[in-house]
Amino acid sequence: MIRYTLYRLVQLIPVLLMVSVFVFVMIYALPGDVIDALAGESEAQDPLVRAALEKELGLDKPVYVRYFVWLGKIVIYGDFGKSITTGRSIGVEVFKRIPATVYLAIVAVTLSLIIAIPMGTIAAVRRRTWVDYVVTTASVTGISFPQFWFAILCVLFFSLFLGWLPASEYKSPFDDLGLSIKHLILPASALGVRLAAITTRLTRSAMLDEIRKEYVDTARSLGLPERRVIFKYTLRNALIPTITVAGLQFGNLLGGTVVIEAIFAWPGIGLTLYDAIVSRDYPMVQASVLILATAFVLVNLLVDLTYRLLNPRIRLP
Amino acid sequence: MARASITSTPEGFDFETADLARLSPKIRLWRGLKEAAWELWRNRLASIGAAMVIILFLVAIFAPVLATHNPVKQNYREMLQTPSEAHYFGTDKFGRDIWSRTVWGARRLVIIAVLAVCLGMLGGIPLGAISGYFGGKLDAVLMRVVDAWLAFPGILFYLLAASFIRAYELSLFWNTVGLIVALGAARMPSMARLVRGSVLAEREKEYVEASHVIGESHLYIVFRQILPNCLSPVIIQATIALGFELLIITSLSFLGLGAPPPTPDWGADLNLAREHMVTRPYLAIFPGLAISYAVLGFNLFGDGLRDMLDPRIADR
Repeated sequence: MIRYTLYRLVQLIPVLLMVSVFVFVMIYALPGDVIDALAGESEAQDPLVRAALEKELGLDKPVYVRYFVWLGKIVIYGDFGKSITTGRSIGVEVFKRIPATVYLAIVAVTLSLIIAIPMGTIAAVRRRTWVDYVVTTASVTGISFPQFWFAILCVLFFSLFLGWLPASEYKSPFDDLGLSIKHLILPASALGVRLAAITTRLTRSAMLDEIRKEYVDTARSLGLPERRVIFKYTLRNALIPTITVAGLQFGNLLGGTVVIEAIFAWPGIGLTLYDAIVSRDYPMVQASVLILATAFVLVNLLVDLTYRLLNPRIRLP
Repeated sequence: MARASITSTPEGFDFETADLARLSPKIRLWRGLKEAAWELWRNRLASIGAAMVIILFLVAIFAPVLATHNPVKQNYREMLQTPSEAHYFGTDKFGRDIWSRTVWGARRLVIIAVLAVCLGMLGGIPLGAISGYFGGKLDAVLMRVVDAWLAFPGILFYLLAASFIRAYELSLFWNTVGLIVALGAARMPSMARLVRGSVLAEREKEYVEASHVIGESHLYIVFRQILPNCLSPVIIQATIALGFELLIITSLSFLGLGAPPPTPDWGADLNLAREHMVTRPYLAIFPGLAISYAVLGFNLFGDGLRDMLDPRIADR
């Protein structure tokens, strides 16, 4: 297992390198001049000022040198450069935003699993009854709903119409847990509903696969109560693929946070990326994309490793 | 044992299907389509999905006829009107008719989604087919690239592409082209992997060996003989992908990173509606319904196609 983990970690390196090259080249190819943005238009006309700035920023060196300098700074010092709009260190800015996103994502995933696993199980056990039809229809609808529309409808209904929940703003759970949760409910549900729909489908099909297996017949023929057959044996086995795919969706969730955080003014890394794109703060865009992509890759690896731990039947290469 | 299984008829052996194999490809295709149509009819949800997709395409085609107003013309005398006979879905804060914008938006979105998926297939299918057929080092290299490509979260790619397109301040046409290229490029790796998987299974079959013996060229074998047998999963995937692309395009325009205003776009209209949520909630309803309708249609239709074309995973 340790060897396999190391092997997979080494495999990540080319992927992350490719991502970094991609991000770097894309931003490099953008039109517009950093120096124009940094120095005022009039100052930038002066060739001496330009040359000095170019030298200071390392822009006089060839592209590949600049790439390695950029990457080296990130890997060795964690230095992502400075934000164009605020002038502050990007690394500090971005890492400050991570907890809010993680908080939101974990609650959203938990919420979706709490809804999806019972729904999927019931649908599979009561296959081809009205329960099944309702659940499958609900899940295909959930998959088709755009998250941002669902978020808007939630705000419309729960905060504007009923006035139960606040429509935006983030409150830290360490200051006031109750208030924090109140502020969390809408964004977490809006983020989790799609995942819940996907997981319901998965649970249902995994359960259907399991229920047809021979050990289920054996258990039933031994006279075990149906409840026990379902919950103790079938569901346990069905959960392995379900949790895995739900875990892989976790990465996609990180992407979904961009939209949700923008709607709810949730100060996470998704909102940082969105703000950076809107204000054309490209070093910030680079950094947030790089961090989100790395998180995505690492989460996927973690899920894969957990899956292997849970399921010893999988051969280690 | 092996002999017995050849001479005796296995239970439930389908003579009609067996006969089909001997018919000419054209008739086979026709019969196949007829079969497909019947199955489609039988699967009710799938037919609802098919109907929804057909209606969506009809709306997209006949947008100029269906629209009652100019979708981009501002009319400050008719700002923020509630739905009425003159304006079926009401008007937005610029006095633009939401119904007309929804209809024209359908045309734009359908065109983008279809072209993007086509581009994804155009790039992904040959890549996957060649990789799977020739195998070896070429396959290893190509699949590593595909893996890395897939490891990059899609939404980040779209956001990067959108900000890239925005930075160039392109005209609407080139903006749209850029979007299609980005969506298509992101679609390629998953298509390639899908096709590669089927081709790997297919190339071991006897008919391929027979073609080698006859001396057909590799390219002929891959593209004319193997590939047609690998297309069902691609068709399923493409249908569902259409819905997914719609979600992505509207998400981007919702964030204000899509086409420049006043282009009719469901996502952009929803974003605009957020300003008037308290007084004019219906503004947020119709564009959202339109997106959900279109995506649901493609998803239901895709699920139905899967049940039909891929019996192994039917009833899931």
